[in-house]
Amino acid sequence: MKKFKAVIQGCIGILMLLLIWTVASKTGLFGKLDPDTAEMLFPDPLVVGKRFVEVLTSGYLLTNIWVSMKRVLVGFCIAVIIGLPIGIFMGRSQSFHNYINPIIRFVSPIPGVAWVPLAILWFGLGNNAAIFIIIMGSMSPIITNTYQGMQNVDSKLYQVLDIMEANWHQTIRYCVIPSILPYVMAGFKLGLGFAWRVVIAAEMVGVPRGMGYVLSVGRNTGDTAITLITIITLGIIMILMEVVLFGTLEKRMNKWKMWE
Amino acid sequence: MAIEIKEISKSFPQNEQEEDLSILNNISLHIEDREFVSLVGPSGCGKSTLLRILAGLLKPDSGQILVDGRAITRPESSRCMVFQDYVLFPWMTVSSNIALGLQVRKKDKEYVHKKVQWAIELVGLNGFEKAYPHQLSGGMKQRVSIARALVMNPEILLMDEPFGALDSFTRMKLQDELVRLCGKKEFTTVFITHDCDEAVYLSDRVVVFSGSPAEVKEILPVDLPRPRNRTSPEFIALRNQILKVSVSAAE
Repeated sequence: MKKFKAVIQGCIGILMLLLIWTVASKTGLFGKLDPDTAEMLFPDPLVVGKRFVEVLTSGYLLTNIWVSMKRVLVGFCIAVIIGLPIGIFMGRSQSFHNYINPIIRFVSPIPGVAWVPLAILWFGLGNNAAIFIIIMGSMSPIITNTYQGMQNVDSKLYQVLDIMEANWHQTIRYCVIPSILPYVMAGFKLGLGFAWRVVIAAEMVGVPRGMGYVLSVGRNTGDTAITLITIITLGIIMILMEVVLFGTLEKRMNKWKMWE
Repeated sequence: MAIEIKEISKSFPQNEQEEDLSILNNISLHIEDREFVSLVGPSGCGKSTLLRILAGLLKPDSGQILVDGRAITRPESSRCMVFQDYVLFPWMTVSSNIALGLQVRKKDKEYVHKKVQWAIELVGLNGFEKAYPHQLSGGMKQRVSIARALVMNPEILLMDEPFGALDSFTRMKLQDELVRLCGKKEFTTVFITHDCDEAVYLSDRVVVFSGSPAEVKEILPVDLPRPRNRTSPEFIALRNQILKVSVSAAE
């Protein structure tokens, strides 16, 4: 019942936003714009909604979502494949940590977008450039969070496995992976967020097709509606990812009371 | 398995300026095959360090420990350890926790299943096979931990204040069960405790350590028939004697 009430209240919040939007649009930002400019720069939700259905049914939107998503997934998976073992080895070996830590400390504050020009120079305007940028943008939170998780593994669990004469991959499987899972999940969440950010930026500056490309075309042709639609779609994708991908995993981890 | 502890010393580095802190100083001790020996002494005196060296988790600075004539160089599944804070895997059920060591040793499925079932019955955890550690009381968790050790058919069981965190009722109950389990004389037990009552109730011999660096102060045999009566005069006399020795050792 409490949950039901929360859902209703959340819906009311969104309806209020739509209402303000409609009023602002119909009055030309409360009289600040003349009606023609207002219609172009600030279309009301109904117009945007109609356009949404249009681009959805024509496949234009879905194709471009798929293009961006593919880039994000490939880049992110590569970042995980590289970053997760690095984070784990950093936790297991102090000297490996000493070698790698300065590089990570140096690279991680660099905004992912800063790699865009270099990526385009190296890989040209295509998928590879986008994937490179995504890897650069999302790898460091994966590494740092994994490493943090490694430092929080109960060292006595290692002792128990040592006494059982477990080899290194059994130790990773039975102890390390389940222990660091909550931290890794947090890293994945951050990394995936970065991945989306940089892919949109890259597509806006030149990598063809994808959501960022739709945004930049919208700007060049003065098509406000499509830019709004893209923004809303991005929001929906992020929520879905959060709920579907991480929600189910976190529920499972809660069962073990890992977070307490 | 008989254990021969020969002139073990161990110190730990402190701050950079100060000298290393000596924890164990020239400890020698003989433990008979299938004997139950308690190590009693002030907290922080190095009993746990000695137990870790026995487990093979720590290396001594000098001296060595022989198990049936063979020197200990690394942890082995024949020397199992039970920790005070249980150290269960929170993401595994009771039966998975108990089965883990056998799985690591790659025993076949049927054997693992049988053995786990046997251990669960032995420690009285029937009905809790599918529970997770956070759903269990302290006493139950320690039962899981003991079962996890017993499925390995240990030759030596090392127990580091296993009942120290439990309330006295649960502690007495688990002491009784330990007497029952060790009564079969299938393994040698080295048991660390603060509790003189517990030491007398369980042990064949009680070794009293003095404080840092630890040295063997006195070794007292407990020649009382089991099950022991905690209120018998002999029991109380012996407990008081150990208490006296350990208090003077702590000073």
